[in-house]
Amino acid sequence: MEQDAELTPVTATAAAPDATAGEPGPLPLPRRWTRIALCAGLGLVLLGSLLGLAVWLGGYAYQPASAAALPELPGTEPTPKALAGLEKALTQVRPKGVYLTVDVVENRLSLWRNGTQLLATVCSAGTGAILRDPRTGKEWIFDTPRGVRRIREKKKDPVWTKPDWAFVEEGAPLPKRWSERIDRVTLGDYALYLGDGYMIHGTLYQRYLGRPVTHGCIRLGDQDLETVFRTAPVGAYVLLF
Amino acid sequence: MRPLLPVVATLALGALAGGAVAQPAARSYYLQEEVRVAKSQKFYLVLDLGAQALDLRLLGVTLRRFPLQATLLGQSRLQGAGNPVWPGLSFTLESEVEEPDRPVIHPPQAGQETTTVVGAGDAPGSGDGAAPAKPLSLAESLTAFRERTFAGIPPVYRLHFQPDLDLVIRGEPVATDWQSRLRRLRFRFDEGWSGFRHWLAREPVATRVTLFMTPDDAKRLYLVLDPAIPLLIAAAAAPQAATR
Repeated sequence: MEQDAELTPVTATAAAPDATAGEPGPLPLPRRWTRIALCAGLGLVLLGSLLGLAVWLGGYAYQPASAAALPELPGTEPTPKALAGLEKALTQVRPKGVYLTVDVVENRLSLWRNGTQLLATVCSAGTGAILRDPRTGKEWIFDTPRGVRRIREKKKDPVWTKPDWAFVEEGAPLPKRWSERIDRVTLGDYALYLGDGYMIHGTLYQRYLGRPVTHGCIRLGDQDLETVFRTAPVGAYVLLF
Repeated sequence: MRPLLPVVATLALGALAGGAVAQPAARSYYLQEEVRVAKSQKFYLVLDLGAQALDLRLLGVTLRRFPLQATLLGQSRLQGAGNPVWPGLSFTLESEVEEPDRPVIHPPQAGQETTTVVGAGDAPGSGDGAAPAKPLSLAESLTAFRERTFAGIPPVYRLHFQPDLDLVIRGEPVATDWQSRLRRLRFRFDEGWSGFRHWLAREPVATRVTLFMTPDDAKRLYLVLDPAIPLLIAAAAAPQAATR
């Protein structure tokens, strides 16, 4: 009852102008709907604020990483001699003398001596492709292996004994005689053997240097191959990444 | 003002000492860890805070340096972000990294003349309305496939390491256009919501390191991530006066 009494004068006041004008006007929204809309609006604002607060609280406060504190480390303070010993131990792990680094993604090869770069050049590494033999279902993956290798052997005028995949890729039948697998041209003038059939060798397709086109070996241009052959000894590290 | 100067200087020195400046103990720990992982003859990453770079190393040799535009360390506000501390200096990758797609070479069958590559796509210019392009050679098809695969690698990704550390790689230019701002806003929203959900579930929220680099570097980094690759943190070298 109290509510009705309170509402009556307002309704009367609102209706009065329409009555005097004598023409139909837009009906005012009932108060109940206004209240619902207001409450819904307020609720949405509150919900949004709470969500925003949750997201802000759950979020990260960042600062430059170099300004963050280091964790507590076990053990005692090392002496300068102990630190120098560790630095030396790390130096001893590194390859000494001549070594090679090969970027198998960007097809780049570098030759180093004691950390000084002697040569930086383009090469060709593995395609990463899969070859399927439709007759046998056998598969080969033409990746250049990443990691640590060493030069096991070096040969001038190398001879390539063509493996099965070389015939399968061309759709040719596998040869019955071993001599049909012998190829004296494809590898170029020199080859450095890295084990498991992988080599650094020359190429007949110099225009493809810098592209990933090989079956896993590393191809170099003639002059670069000669430099690498003459500089890197057997036993030198080859770091492929 | 003068009486305040010693206080300000003390606070500044305190802040410097608390930062990631290599103390002898930290340097010793880092070197021991690097010797250990270098001897394993496996790849490892070094986040060099002094040089602002992420290095890929093998046998102690830096094979590739990824220069960083910025390196930020963050902790969730719900877990007390006031004074962030590195959760460790040596981590191991826990996330699995998907290997990019490989092309498949199909040898020529009877009646065919050339070897074909599945997944190599069309030659450039062979789309609708274009003149028929010269067919690509096997080498060109494989190169095109690799280029497309590289382009498809995400430049922004998150890697989880143990002990609990998230490494967010953001290979995107620090652009100020509205699309970049919107993308960053969405990233922050996802980050905050995820942190809040973890907090509700009473799960720990990992400390997060965000590295900003070029998109190409971010993609190249993606390709060197071996399973369980170690990550070492090399703090900035201590100033001369602070060393013994």
